[in-house]
Amino acid sequence: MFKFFVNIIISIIIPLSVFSQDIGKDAPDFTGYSASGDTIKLSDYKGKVLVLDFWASWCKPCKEEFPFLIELYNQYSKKDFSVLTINLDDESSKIIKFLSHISEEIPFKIVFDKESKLPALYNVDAMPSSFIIDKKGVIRYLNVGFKSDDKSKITAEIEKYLNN
Amino acid sequence: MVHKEAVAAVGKKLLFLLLISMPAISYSQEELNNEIQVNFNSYFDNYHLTVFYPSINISKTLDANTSLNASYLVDAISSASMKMTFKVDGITSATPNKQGGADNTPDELRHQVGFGITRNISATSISVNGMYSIEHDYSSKTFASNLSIPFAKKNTIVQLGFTRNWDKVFPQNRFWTKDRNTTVLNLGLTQILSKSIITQLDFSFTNMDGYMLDGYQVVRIITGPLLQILEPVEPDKRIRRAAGIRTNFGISKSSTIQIGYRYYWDTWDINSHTIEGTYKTHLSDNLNLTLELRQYFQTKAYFFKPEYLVPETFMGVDSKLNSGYTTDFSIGINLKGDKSFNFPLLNSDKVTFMASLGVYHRHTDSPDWVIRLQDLYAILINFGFKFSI
Amino acid sequence: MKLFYLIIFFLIFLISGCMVVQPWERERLADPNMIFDENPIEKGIKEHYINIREGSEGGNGSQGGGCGCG
Repeated sequence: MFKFFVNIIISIIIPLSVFSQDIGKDAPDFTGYSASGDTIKLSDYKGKVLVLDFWASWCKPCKEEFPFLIELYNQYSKKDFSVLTINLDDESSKIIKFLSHISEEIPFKIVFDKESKLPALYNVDAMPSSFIIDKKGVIRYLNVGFKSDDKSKITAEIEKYLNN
Repeated sequence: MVHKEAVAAVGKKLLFLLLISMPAISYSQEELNNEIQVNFNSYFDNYHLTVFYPSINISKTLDANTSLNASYLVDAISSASMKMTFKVDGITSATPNKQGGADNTPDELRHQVGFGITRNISATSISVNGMYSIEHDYSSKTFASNLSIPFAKKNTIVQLGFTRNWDKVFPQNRFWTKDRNTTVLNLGLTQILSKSIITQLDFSFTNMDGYMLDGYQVVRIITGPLLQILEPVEPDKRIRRAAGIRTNFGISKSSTIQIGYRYYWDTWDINSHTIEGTYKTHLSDNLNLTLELRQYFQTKAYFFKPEYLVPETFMGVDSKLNSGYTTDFSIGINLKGDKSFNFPLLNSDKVTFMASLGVYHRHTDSPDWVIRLQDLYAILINFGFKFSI
Repeated sequence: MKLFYLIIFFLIFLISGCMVVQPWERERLADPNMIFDENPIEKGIKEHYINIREGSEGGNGSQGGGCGCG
């Protein structure tokens, strides 16, 4: 009875714990819109190393990561690199309020995914989720959350694929 | 033999499970903070008990997944009830105070230090804490550990806790030292029910053994002209269980209501019901208000009597063991600092100010053993600062 | 008793599967007011006073809840 009980738990836990992060697969293409209605396509970034970041204004690690994304863009944008962020708030006013607290100008585009359709394409499980996509459009790295040592990891991955 | 093989096989399977699940779950679960919290708490009641309780807690991250914390507090207790005991208890007057303070004024100062470490391993969070508390008639060593495991994109979190206390009791008016040991097991389940409702179940099991009395309490038995003053006697074992549920409802964009219920029962026949309601609301981006109301009902221990006419096997006089009810209300605020505030300390968004005022009323079905009142009224005044570093 | 524990575990996983609020849908849950024992130090202070006056303890839960952040 005890063995049966443990077997049941294991057979449930394994599917729950092991999930696909799509590393090594082509990044699903999409068309999104900014808060002002401009069309933004992922395919516009082909040929560049791209950081694709999913975030929301109420998410604390997202707030900490945003200045770092600006820093990355300013550092590498002259070298076939870009940043594209997908905002998942339900109202565009929340983006405006969030950005009003950022002292620097935002140099990259922000997709306003009000209906949150795009996270499912990328199996997003937590926020922020930052995907590094290489010049051929393949997902090469995923950084989930944002902690102190993530800056160096993300920077190292970007430089690896910029040099390829 | 068969059982050991089964356990070994299970152990291997669980280890395999841990190894294969760890690479797939790459994010941490607990948010680790760098902060210092300083609190000043006070308690005053009509039983002449006054407590001042300043404390400092520091939390510092070592790396992205590890955090250390340290705490120190002082309990300064002044109790007139103990003074009354010293006057009437014939045993005391000849007993020198070896631990400091005067024989006639048993004011107490308790020092407590604690250290802990929290580590995130994949999605799991483990914390281990140790604490040492000392005053001139009591010492306590505590070891506590907690494991927190999320499932289903953190919609479900299972928590397991273990605490062990090793206490020594050596009252100023006694010649002995006695031990009290406590083991606590906790199981908790936090479950998100919807985008605005989250619930938590909690079950705790406590095993206590040793000396569980207050060494200053006495039992007075009056038989005609004869007064006997005896030490209380309680069972030296107690098993305590509690099961609780509480749920947070996000009733609007800025307000939350929490409703909770707990049932408690133990081997001394004390059963209790606790009902709590909490209302929290953001009055502004920086100011938060909390209102709490708690109602508690308790039965008495099987050996507790309001009065003893003859010595009995077990005799207890502690009002905690008596039947009765309590009502507890508090109001609190949380104010997050801002650069625009023209007020020292609060002109930084790294500082939060907290304050609360509470009123506590306990009614017991018979008078307290020394104060001779059935109704205890207490006021609790707390304030503190939290600094992000 | 083993059947009882089995039922409890099944309920845990059944509930986990039925109610999945996605990380980006947890704006309300990320509010500090929705987190259980958001300030555990304050909770410890309150329990300290209650335990010196009442005969029960335990079953009060632990810190938990919050956003689906990494």
